[in-house]
Amino acid sequence: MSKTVLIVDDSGSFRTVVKLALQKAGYGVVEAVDGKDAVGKLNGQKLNLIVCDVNMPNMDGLTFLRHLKTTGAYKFTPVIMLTTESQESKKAEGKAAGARAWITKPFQPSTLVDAVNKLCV
Amino acid sequence: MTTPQPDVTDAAPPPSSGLVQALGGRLPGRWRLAAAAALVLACGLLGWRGGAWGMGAALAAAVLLPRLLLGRASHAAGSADTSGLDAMLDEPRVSGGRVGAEVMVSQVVPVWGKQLDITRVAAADGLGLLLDGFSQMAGALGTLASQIEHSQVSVAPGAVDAALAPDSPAQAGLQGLLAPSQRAFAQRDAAVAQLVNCHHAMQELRTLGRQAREVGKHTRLVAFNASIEANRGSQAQGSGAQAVANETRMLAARIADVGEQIERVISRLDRELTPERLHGEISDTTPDELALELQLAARTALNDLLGAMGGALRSSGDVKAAAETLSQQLEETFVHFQFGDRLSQMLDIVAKDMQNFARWVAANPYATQSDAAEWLANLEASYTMEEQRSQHHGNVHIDRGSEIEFF
Repeated sequence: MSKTVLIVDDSGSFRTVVKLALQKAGYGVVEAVDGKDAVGKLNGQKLNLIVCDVNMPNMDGLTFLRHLKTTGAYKFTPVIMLTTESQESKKAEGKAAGARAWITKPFQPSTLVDAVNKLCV
Repeated sequence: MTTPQPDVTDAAPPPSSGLVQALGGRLPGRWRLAAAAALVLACGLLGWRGGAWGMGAALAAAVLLPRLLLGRASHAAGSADTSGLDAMLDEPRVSGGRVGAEVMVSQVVPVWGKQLDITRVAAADGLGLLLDGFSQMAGALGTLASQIEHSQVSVAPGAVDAALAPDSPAQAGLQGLLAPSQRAFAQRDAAVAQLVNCHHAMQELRTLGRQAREVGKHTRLVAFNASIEANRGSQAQGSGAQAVANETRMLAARIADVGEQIERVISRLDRELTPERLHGEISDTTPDELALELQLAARTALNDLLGAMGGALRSSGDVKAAAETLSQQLEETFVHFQFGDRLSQMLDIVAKDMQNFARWVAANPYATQSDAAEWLANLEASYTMEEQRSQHHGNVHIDRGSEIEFF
């Protein structure tokens, strides 16, 4: 049975690129358009990893990350932040919130797949 | 797409006299300046000579006439050289009731914001469609590469040996081919055994043939004795006995002849059907030798088949390599698509900032330098991309690759 990754990004194009790369690598993919939508996707289904943008409408990625870490079932689900943000202060914020990796856009799909392979539980 | 033009009807220049318009529209710039100076000088003289009213009229004329002259001339010159937005940029306006900059910003900037928004939506939609198309291409390429990989036949050294291994399907097929031959061998061996048995029977026949010759000799002797006895007897009995003796002698000769013929035939058959010769004939090809010949023939056929398949396999390899190259290029294309998406995001941010700016200016018509500095600082703080921060200060953005940092 393939492992499942939740992609949270308000850009449909980015979700498509990420989905394509992960599906090619053998992962199942669930999509959410922002943090609020992602919270709705935490409905008990098994998620092996989450790839999350930072700047999104309704609920940004760091807020979603903090919410995730208070949710028992997903407390230890690894999260990779995939964002245009490159400020060290934001990275530190993400690290403090529990992110396991920070990838700056634009990204090579193979780089993302390597990171997912490394962190996927 | 059409570019919206600002509405300039409510900001038309004030009317002026035909004389001034005629003068201003025709005179070159330095002559207009000289004419204005002359008018001021003339008004001064009028005021000096005309008393209090003359002084007032002279002051008003000194202020208004040169302004009308220079302003109208400038407008006329601008109309002759440029049109539309370019002409407007050369001419400051004042609108009644509200500060001009505030009116302009509140009306024009939102239009730009909408244009940016439309552009962003069009770019995002187009990008989405392109990505869908490329996604499908990438999927098809992946399927093709997978099919080629799974249809690849190994032609590595030892492939023929592996194909003909004892427990291989090919070996079972060869055994199936050998089965009729093995049955034929068994039938042949049975036939040889029958012939050997016949050879033994012929030896008995040879003995019987010899016995027949012996019988013939003995009978001839009996016929000879009978002939002697016939000569001793009476004439009548003698002739009868002589006839019997003659017949007996002829019979003896025939018996001996038959025995001799039997022996000749037996001797000839005996030479042909000796067991040594029969076994010597069939020992030229054994079932094991036949199986070995079949294995060799199968190996040769397989080698020929693999050789013929070589070209097709090389072609498949070329197609697979091409598919992998295309797949790598598609990955690079996906990276480039991300730049398009970032452009769309930046347009969205700029459009929203412009709308916020227009609202702020409408609420704060008397902005100061510190307001501008505060605005710029807030803008910089809101940036999410390195490109934005870099361009904010007028720096040249240096492109960087994908970065990953593990915590």
